Amino acid sequence: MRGYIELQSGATPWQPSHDAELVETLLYNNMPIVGVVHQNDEFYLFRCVEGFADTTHVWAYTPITEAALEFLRKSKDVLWSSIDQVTDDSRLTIALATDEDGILLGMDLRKEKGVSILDNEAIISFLLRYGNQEVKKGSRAERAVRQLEDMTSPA
Amino acid sequence: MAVPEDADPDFQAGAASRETCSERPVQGINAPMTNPSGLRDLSREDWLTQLGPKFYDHPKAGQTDVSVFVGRLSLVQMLYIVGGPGRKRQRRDAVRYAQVGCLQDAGFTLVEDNELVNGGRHVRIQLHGEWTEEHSRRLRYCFSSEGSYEALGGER
Repeated sequence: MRGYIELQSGATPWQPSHDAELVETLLYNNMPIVGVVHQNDEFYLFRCVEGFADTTHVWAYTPITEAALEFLRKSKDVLWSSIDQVTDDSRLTIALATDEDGILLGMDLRKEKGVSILDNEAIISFLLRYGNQEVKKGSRAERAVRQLEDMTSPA
Repeated sequence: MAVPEDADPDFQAGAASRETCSERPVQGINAPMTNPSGLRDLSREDWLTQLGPKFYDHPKAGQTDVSVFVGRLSLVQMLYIVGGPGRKRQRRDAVRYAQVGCLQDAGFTLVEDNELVNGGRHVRIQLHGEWTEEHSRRLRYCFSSEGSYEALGGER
């Protein structure tokens, strides 16, 4: 079991590589914002962590079992607590994407980080830190990082 | 079902309101109907809530519909349904409202998902045919009646 999803630059977040298939949309808001994709014989739960009503978005992916997929299908009314039950915080991949460019940036979080797919603040914090270190100035990815910083500024 | 503390009693069902967007009389809706899923059918007076800050007035690329949720939901409620329990309010967050009848009169088809997800009931605003700028204008109109906007700290 590989454990981490493979992301392709420019791909749609809910179909993050050419060989990934969207098998379930669990929550929809102008696009699938929580669902399950199948890739390399593995199921991955994905979630739009931020930007679910915006043009720049943060995404998170974690492997789940087929039994977990069935459980989530049957427990949508309490989706957040159901996700908490079937995920183990051990293998998380996070990504930054825009409506226009698809996935621009992605990173695997190591097991010791222990970040839940439901932990919005930690995921955004990791992504901003990574983005500020790694992206090229003037690139589309850099613009998306700046946009994310603006979006997540406190009320 | 876990919902935020300020959830109103009509959270799941979609609250009818005294305010109307359309003056056309409502016909044949004397009592709430229920569909096979057990959820009450929508009436023309029911409010629908759209989450911003980006208020899509046309489907995103590759999609066929615009999303709203049944009821006149608060920003806190919408953020819980869509963003999860860990999602804190942010400066640009906002919701806006339209009524079923107004959108129907504007030519849109409303397709309900007929299930509750995180306590919210999703509705797809769709069109038969191409979505033009005129359709986007009509959709914006339905969301522009007085009192149809709630923002936390940002401006409209």
